[in-house]
Amino acid sequence: MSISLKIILLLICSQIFSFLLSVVVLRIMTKKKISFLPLLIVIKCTLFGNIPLLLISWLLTLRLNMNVYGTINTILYVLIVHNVLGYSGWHIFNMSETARRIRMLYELNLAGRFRYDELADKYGVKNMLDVRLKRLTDMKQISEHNGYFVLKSLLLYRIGIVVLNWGFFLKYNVHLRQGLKK
Amino acid sequence: MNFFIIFYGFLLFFICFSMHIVIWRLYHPKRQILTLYALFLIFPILLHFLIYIFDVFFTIQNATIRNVLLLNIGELLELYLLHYALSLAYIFTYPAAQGACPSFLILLIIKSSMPRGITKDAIHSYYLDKKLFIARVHDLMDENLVVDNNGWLEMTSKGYLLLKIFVSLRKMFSLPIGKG
Repeated sequence: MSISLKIILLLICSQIFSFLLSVVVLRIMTKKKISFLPLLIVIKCTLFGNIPLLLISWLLTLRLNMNVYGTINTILYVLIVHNVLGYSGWHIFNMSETARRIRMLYELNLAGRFRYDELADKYGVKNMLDVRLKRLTDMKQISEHNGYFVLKSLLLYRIGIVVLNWGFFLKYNVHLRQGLKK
Repeated sequence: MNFFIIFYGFLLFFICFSMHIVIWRLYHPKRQILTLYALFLIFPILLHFLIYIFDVFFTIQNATIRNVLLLNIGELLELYLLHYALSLAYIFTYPAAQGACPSFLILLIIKSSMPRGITKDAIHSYYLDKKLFIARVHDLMDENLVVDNNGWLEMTSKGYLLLKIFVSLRKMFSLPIGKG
């Protein structure tokens, strides 16, 4: 088997390992009724997957007698691909948690069919807000004091600024941009 | 492994990314996600194939293209794996930018109210714009996941399949369906 195929196989295994680890950890925590934020568990499992990946890829380069540059490039490559794929996996999981479209499909499946307004009511926009406020609080991005929500960390806010501006650059949500400027 | 695999992987991604920007600045395709998949995942293979054919008839002199043409199958797989990983990461991030992710909007509203902060009701009045909701329904229709049947919204088999995948994923994790 060529070195390229070994590296690709290793990356496939690292993704399967991280995914199965998340399944096991989440199932155990649900069964033991431990309070947790599933999104963070998935991120941590992906990051944990870097450890065996790093070790195995380093052993692989030793076995193939790679020079220093070859070793560094191989390790750099596997770390980039593993974490970028992990990021996509995390997004799929995130979609299952809070994606508006998936939620609408779920409500539609339960009822069979809806009129526009019925779906908006069923979807419960207030509930949607509550879920997000709770998630942002659990992620320690915001906190509540005497009924007032305040920003606790600027991390997600800054990411949000970049993502929303990217949307504006692609000519989306122009009405929101005007509203935010006001 | 040579560093140029990583370099070409990123280069290929940025070529597709630049094309995406140019197209989107000109107009918004109706089936956006499908167009993104075609642009990032299918177009590079077609382009590669065309360059191979072109090279057969008119030998290409450009050093970068020559190096890519000389890659063996294993190196090509590595290159495309990196490109596909980057592309998928972007495609999954894209809906947050396109649909103005509600969580980001909440953070922006709270930030604008600092240092005093803001109540839930005030966020509610800012944020509960039905335009956001209606836009998502239109997205579902554009992607053929939902159809409008004489004013009634109904799910298509494609929509049902997508829902089934997500429900199965949640079951696998032993988690209830997400609250949206």
